[in-house]
Amino acid sequence: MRERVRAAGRRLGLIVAGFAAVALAASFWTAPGPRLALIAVAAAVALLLVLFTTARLGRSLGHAAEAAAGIAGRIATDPVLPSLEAGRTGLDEFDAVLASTVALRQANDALIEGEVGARLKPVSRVAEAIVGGGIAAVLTEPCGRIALNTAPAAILRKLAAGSDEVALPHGPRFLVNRQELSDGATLTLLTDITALKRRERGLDKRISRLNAALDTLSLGFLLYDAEDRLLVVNRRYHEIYRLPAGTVRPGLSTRDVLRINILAGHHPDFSEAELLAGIQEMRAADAAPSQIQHLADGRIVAVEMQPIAGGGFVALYEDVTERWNAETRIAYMARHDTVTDLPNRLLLRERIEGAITLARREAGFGVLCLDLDNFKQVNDTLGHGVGDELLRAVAHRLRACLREVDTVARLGGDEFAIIQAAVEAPEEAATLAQRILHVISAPYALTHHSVTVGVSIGIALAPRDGLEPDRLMQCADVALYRAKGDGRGTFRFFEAEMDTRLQARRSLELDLRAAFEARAFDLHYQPIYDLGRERICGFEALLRWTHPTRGRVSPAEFVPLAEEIGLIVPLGEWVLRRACREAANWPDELKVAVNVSAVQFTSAGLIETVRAALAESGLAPRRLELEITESVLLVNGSATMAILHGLRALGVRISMDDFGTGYSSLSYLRSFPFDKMKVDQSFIRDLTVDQGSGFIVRAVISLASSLGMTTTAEGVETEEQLARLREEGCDEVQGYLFSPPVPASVLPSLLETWNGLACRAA
Amino acid sequence: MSDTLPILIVDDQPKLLRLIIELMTRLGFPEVEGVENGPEALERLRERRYALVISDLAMEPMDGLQLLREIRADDSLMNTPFILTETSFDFEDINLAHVAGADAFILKPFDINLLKAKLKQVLNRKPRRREAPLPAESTLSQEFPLLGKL
Repeated sequence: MRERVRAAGRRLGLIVAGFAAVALAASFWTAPGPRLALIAVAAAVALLLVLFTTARLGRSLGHAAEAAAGIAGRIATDPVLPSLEAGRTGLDEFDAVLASTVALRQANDALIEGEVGARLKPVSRVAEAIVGGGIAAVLTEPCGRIALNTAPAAILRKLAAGSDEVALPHGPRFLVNRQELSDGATLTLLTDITALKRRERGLDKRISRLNAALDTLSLGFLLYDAEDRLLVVNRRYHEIYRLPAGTVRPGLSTRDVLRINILAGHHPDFSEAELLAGIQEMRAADAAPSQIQHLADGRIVAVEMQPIAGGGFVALYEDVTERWNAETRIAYMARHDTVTDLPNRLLLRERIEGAITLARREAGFGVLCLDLDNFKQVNDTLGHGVGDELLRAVAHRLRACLREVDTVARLGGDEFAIIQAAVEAPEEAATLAQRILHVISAPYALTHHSVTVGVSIGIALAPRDGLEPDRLMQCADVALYRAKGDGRGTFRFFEAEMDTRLQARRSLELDLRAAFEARAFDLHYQPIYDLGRERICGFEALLRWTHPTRGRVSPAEFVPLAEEIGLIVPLGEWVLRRACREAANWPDELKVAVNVSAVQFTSAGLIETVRAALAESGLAPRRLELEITESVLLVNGSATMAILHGLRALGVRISMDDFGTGYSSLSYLRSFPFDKMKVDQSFIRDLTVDQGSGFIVRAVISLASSLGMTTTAEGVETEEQLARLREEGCDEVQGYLFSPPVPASVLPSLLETWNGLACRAA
Repeated sequence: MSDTLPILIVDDQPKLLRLIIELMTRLGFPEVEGVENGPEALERLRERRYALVISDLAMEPMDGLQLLREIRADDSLMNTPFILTETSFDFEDINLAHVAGADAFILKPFDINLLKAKLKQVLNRKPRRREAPLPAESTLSQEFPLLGKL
């Protein structure tokens, strides 16, 4: 438009310029008349041209404006949007406005479309659902006529007013939702809940199964939520606490449940506050989860509480009365003697330890070890039944001598022990010991017999004699040993000097071991004289030990010690080899006799040892005699027999030593073919005395002879004895009459004297 | 070791008495007195307090046991620690002495370490209380009428 206006403006300008030019030109024309007429004509022409130009401009602008208005109107109102190409006005400005109008129209259209679309979607969705989905709709007019129905006809019939669910016979089930509309009509929506119902039934089944499981659970079960409200409880819980079924219901708090239990009388010894505190303790996650309840009616319940995720907790209850009683019984039996019902060694030790703890703080105590004298006789002659009865009676009397704070225990056999509490001075223990001696030695009237026993007592005092259970028992034992050794029926206190004896023994043991390592032993030989041939027929090898400070230690002292410390086997082996080697140097007619300890018989290697000793020395087996005491046969009969036969098979001879001194049994003589019997020196000593052992010796010699055994008499010291033995037919003799045991170096001269032999030096 | 009170040695062999006095003095007892018989000992005991009495058992006219009994019977003396010595242990004597209230025994010649240990025990003991003596006769038949039948 601006172009047209400018063009018109230019034109106008031209016209005015033209007029001005004419006017100017006319001004040069001097006649005033024509000058004025020219100017007027020019003016009129100019005016006409101006009018024409402006009219033309006006018209063109007007056309354009009209056109624009028309197009704009169409744009605004036509149902289908006309494009701009449908009409142009020819003027850019108008076209621009029209374009804007088109844009506006488009935006408007879009807006309306969206609105309508949005309004249309839910409706279409509902329509979709109603038409094709799981929802059926029934629209009923106020008069009852059905205006719309997408439900199966079968349903319609079942739609009674007011029911919330309808079901068809073959399965499908619907939820009914009725809505009154503003115009009085009713819209009924039916939702298919068949699947839902099925799931519900499944769920129900599961729940009832769980409930059944919960009720058959052998434990009582409580489940609380985070607010301490009960959620689940089972029947067993009620049974355990003997509450009527349903008393403890979901919804109650822990406090309520506790109150119910308190009212039922289960926890008479505790207050509600204490019990609640107990529960809180157990609920803490790091606390020991289980506790034991002792109900008033004697039953025992084990309670376990566990917190669960979400803040609640689970409580489990188990009636453990049986198990508790069984365990208590077992624990009791483990600590008590079955015969007398007294505490046993185990419990005694525990009590001593307890007393030691007290002793450190306050008082001393006494430990008394008791041994019944002649109990063994009662047991052996009257039987174990009577023995047990006696033990029970003794236990009863012992208990009667003591106070509540004291303990009496049975250690086994006929040994008892007493802990006397709070002993300040030895006289208290002494007085008790005296009382016990008096009480226990009174006769016992048992069921079928009347018996009497004595008792020996050893006393140790704490803390004087020590503060350790083992030490105290040992001291009391040493004292008891002393009491027994001093004649029984008495008591002895442990004296430290007693222990020095123990210490002396220990040092002897050490010395013995050292001596063995150093081979500091010696063998001496005592001649055995053959009465028939009137010459020495052999030597008995005897072990000698010279202690560095104590001097000669008798075998009677160190051999038992060696046996105890397990030294006898290597020692015995050494003796055998040494003796065999020595004997190999003697004339052939001489044999060597070696003592073998019962302990060596428990070692399976004895046969091998003997064989090796013979082989090494080259000694002929028949020249070796092994002397064993009867006690060997007492131990492990058949194994010992096997060894004896094995030794025999080697060709060595076996003698029974010290015959008549032990638990002599003639059946032993029958059990093994001994070669020789050595009559103990105690019989020889009395041989020539009036009313002496003459007859016995005679009998023994005769017996041995008839069994094919030679006899040797030990300990012959007088000519008289010798003569007598010769009379009785004894084969060999041994004793100081001939020679004491001597070192090997002396043998040649002995042999020369008695046998007239020149013997090779050892 | 009590430093303030003296100790009393009783032994009827003068040489031995001197030896023991010497020994105890060397062990650290500042005041050691000695007497040669029981009656004299009692006299001294009634004159002043002693921390300890060490007495031989075999003495004439009053032996150690009698002396002990006298001391224990006396209310003012009963808590005096009392050690009996003898050359060898006669255990029956020891038992009697224990019942009478002796605190310890020791063999002559003394083992020094043993002596020290016993002194320590005896001197650190709690004092005796005079209480009803334990019944000499057992109460068995009273408490358990049936027990006599057992």
